[in-house]
Formats: sequence, C-alpha cells, structure tokens
Amino acid sequence: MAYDASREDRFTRDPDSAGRRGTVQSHERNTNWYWLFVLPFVFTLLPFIYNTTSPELIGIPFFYWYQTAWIVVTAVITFAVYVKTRGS
Amino acid sequence: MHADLFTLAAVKGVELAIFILLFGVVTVLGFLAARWRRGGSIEHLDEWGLGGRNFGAWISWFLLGGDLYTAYTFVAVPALLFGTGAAGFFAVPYTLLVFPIVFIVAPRLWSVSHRHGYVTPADFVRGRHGSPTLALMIAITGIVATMPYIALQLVGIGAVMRTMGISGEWPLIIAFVILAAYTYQSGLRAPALIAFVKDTLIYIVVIVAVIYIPIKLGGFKGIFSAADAKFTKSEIPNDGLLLADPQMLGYSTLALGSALALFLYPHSVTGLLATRSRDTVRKNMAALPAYSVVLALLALLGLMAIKAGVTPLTGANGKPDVNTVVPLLFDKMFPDWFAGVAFAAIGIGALVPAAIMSIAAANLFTRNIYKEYLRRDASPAEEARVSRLASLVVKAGAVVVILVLDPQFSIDLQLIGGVIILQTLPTVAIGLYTRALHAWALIAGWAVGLAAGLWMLYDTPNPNTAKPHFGGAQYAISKLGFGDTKMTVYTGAIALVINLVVATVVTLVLRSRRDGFTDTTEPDDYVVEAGDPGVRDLEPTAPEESTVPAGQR
Repeated sequence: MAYDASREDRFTRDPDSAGRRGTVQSHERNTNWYWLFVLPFVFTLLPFIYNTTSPELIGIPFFYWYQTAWIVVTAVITFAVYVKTRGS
Repeated sequence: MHADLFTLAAVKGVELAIFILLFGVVTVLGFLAARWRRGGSIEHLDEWGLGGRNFGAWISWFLLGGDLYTAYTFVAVPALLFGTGAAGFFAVPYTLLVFPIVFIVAPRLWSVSHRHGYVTPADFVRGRHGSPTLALMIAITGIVATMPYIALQLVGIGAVMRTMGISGEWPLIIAFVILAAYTYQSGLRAPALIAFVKDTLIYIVVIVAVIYIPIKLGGFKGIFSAADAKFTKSEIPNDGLLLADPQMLGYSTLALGSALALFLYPHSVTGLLATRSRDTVRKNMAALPAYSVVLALLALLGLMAIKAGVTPLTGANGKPDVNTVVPLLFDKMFPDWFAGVAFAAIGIGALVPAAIMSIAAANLFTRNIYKEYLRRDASPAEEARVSRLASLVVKAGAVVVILVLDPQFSIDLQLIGGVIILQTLPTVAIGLYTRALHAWALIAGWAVGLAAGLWMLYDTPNPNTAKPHFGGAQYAISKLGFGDTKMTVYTGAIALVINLVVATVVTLVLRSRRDGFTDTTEPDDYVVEAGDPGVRDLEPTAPEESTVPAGQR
C-alpha cells in the first residue's frame, strides 16, 4: 500500500504536497441544477398540500400514495442532477 | 385469544429452522469476508475500519442501504403506523429528503477525508477547526448517539425471536457474540458482504408481502377503512388516517430534522468514506431511494396488521410490545417457510447496521480519544488493534443495556440520540463550507443546544402512556410562550436553532480572536476526486509484504 505509517499527515500540512495542493478544479459542472432539489422539500414539507384522503389510488388515500410517489420523483430528480452535473 | 397465547408459547419449528439456516450462511460469509477484496494488511484502520476505502457503486449501494435502513426501522415504522396512523409516515419524507442533502454535502466530506486520511467525522473537525476539544465533543456525541441505536437492533431481533416462540435472552447473546467475532475478524468487509444477503431477502419479502397480504385481506380499501375505524374508536389523541392540523408542523420538522441528522451519524459517515470515489457517493444517492420505496410499502404493513386483527405480544416489561406487530403479521399471513425467510431478513437486517455502528463507534474512540489523548504515537497497526477491541466493548455494552435496562430506556435513548447528533450539524456540515463560526462558539452552541434539547425531552410527557418524561420528540409550542396552541415542533429542530443562534452570537463576540486554531485543509481539498494529486491511491493490489492470513492470527 502507498500509505506510509510513519508520516501521519492527517492533521498537519504536508510540506511536500504544497505544490500539488490548491490547484484542483471542481469536477462538477452546471451546479445550478442543484436548484431542482428545492422541489421535493417544498412538496413534502408542507403537509396541508396532501393531508386529504381523496383522490384515492387503488384504495390508498392520497396522503399515502402522494408521499410515496415523491420518493420516485426525487430519485428521478437526483439522477437527472447527477447526469447533468457530472463533469470530467 | 387463549388459544393464540398457547400456540405462540410453542416454538415454531419450520420458521426457526429456516432462520437458523440463513443465519448460518451469513455467519460463514462474515468470516470469509476477511479475505474478500483484500488490499493491504488488515492491521490498518483504513482496512479494518473502512474496508480498504475502495467499495464501488454496487457494493456501496448494498452497504449504505443495509446501514441506513436498519431492522429497527423496518420493525418500528410499521409499528408507529399501527399505533398512531399518519404521524408514523414521516419516515417517507424523511428518507426521501436525505438524498438531496447527502448528494450536495457528502462529496465534500469524501474529498477532504480522502486527501487527509480522515476516518471519522471528528477527524475532519480536528483538521478543519484545529481544536482537539471540539473534536472530542463531536466524537463523544457520536458514540453516545450510536450506542442506543445498536441496542435497538437487538430489539428488532428480539421481536422476531419472541414471535417464533423463543423466549429468554440467550439467543440474542449468541447472535451478538457471533456478530462480534466476525466483525472483529473482518471489519467493515463483513457487513458489506452480508448486506447482499440482507437486502436481497428484504426486497423479496417486501415485494411478496405488499402484493400477497393485501390480496388476502381483500384490497387496500378494506385495509384503510379498518384502520380508520380503529383510530376513530380509540381514545388516544392525535391518531388517525390523516394528520390533525396541530400535528403538521411537528410532522414536517421531524422529517426535515431526521433527514439532516442521518448524515451526521458516525455509521453513515463510515459507509460514505468506504466508497471508492466521490462519483460513487453521488451516483448512490440517485439509486438509494429504492430502499425508501421499500420502507414506504413496509410502513403500510402496520395498517394491514390492523385489518388482519394482530394483537401485539406482551414484552419483557409486561406492556404490549408494538414492535412485534410486523413479525406477527408475517407469521399469520405467510406459510411457515416464508415467514422463516421474512424473520431471517429482519434478523440479518439487524446485524448489518449493528456491525457498521460498532465499527464507527470504535473508530471514533480510537482516532479521537485513544490516539489524541492516550497514545499520541500509536501506529496504524495499533490503531486497528485498539479499534477491533473497542468494537467488542461497544457490542457488549449494547447487550448489557438491553438485558439490564427496560427496552423502553433504549427507545428513549434513541430519541435523545437523534436530538443530540443534530447538534453536531454546525460543526460538521457547516464546517464543510465555511470556518466563519469560531471553534469556541461551536463548542458553546453545541453545549447549549444539547442542554436545551435534553431539557425539552425531559419536559415532554406522553399522554398515551401516562409517562411523565421523555414521552416523545415533539415539544409543545405553548411551552415556549407562543400562545395557546396545540401545535408541536420536533425537539431537535428547536435545539438546533438555539445552537445556531448561540454559535453566531459567540462568534460575533469573539470576532478576530482566531489564535491557536489552524485550518489544515485547503479549499480544493473539498472538491478532489479519486486520482487527483494528493488523494491516496487505494486500488486493491496484491499485498506487498507477506501478511499473515486473517484466520491464523
């Protein structure tokens, strides 16, 4: 393994690395896509939007299937953001 | 009813046989895991405590899923719906909001940790804020919040055991001794490998359950009207198929607070840091919601149990134990052999998080207490040795807690755990972005937030059980002096706001006194990816020096 135990540099600045550090650019791009994440927060953290029984879906009250559906929507949003912001 | 009690007293042979068989398979896997994907010698904390730090997307998906969705969650969330209805469904917004939060924040922690070799969240705090005292507080908070969580995993196994007609405590002890042995041997690789079995079983059981049980019970319509009838009839306040108006604020603050807290738990950090790359973390956040769908479907099992007429078994303390509701439902609805599979899924589901949690707590002890305060010059091999021993102590502690104390005490502690781990948010999560808050201010905010949180929990009675203190994590707004309302707020959220206010005020007071606190991280430490300069190459390679095979030490 590349790790050398005798030089614990976890909590100190490694003098040898001064040149190579501080130069890496972020690998993600188009981070404005992160704003899409506002949607799940707004639509799941305001219970008065969905605190009703109708419309039902195969007998399941709105309250239950609506929130479950948001899991899927959030997964899709997260995947879309992942793809859109993935850089080099 | 009488007949029911009589048959339950007898041990269920088929169920037990399948349970023991699957448990045996997992045990073998746990020991074999020591040789799985071996990088260097296991005598290093990166190997034992983080599985070599190179789990790819698939392994991480199983590991994180097994880590975050614990057996206790799978048993307790349906139990909550069985007891109170809608309020228990907060687990759904909670577990779906985790992903955007972790997607944005966790990659920064991954990057800085891989460049500096941090193993625990407190390691990061030590490097970022330059204060060993602050790091110690974060470490102790993490250990204290994790311990009852481990104990609760035993509650999950216990509920299954009792349903199979096995009483007494020896099966729990045996299960945990075996778990302790292979965790000691294999480290994080054991739960990573076992998670494949656990999650496969959970998916099979849940998919079958949510199709088969509603059909047998005559459809969802009947299930929800039976639940509605129960809640309308009961005298417990605040139960029902929908939320009462005063419950809404409590519902959403609990969901948001829990989502913020999850990532701060040491075992989440352990799972995240064991991944191979920053990209793996991000990719996983898009894939992990599959588990939340499972959790949402499982939650509905609590309502199905109402329709099926399940009566919870009496627990060790003489009160009905609602955590037996799901196992009893499986027992009632499924043929014996499949009920055995379902019980094994829950039982094994308890082992994976228990192992990761004990590793995380052990790493905190080793890195931030032992090495920081007791043996500054401890070598990596010594760290690994100490961590392995500490993991045994942690698990023994959890067993003692469950055996000696009322299980209710663990549930109370877990409630407290969520509130106190949230108090590390300003130091850890905000610290990933800025050092604007002074180290002493963070310590002050943490202390005041913690004290306020504990006091509010103490001051919360439970009207359903006539319990005067620690009755729940919802604090009445009227007690804060905001008029005569029945509204409640998640206690952890109030404590966090107090924490942030104190931290901000103290920072303003201490303005410009930064002496003695050095930030050893660079801005680009937070964005680097595997393969960038300064990120250690941790690709698995053949061991360079001759290492003793894991089995013969």
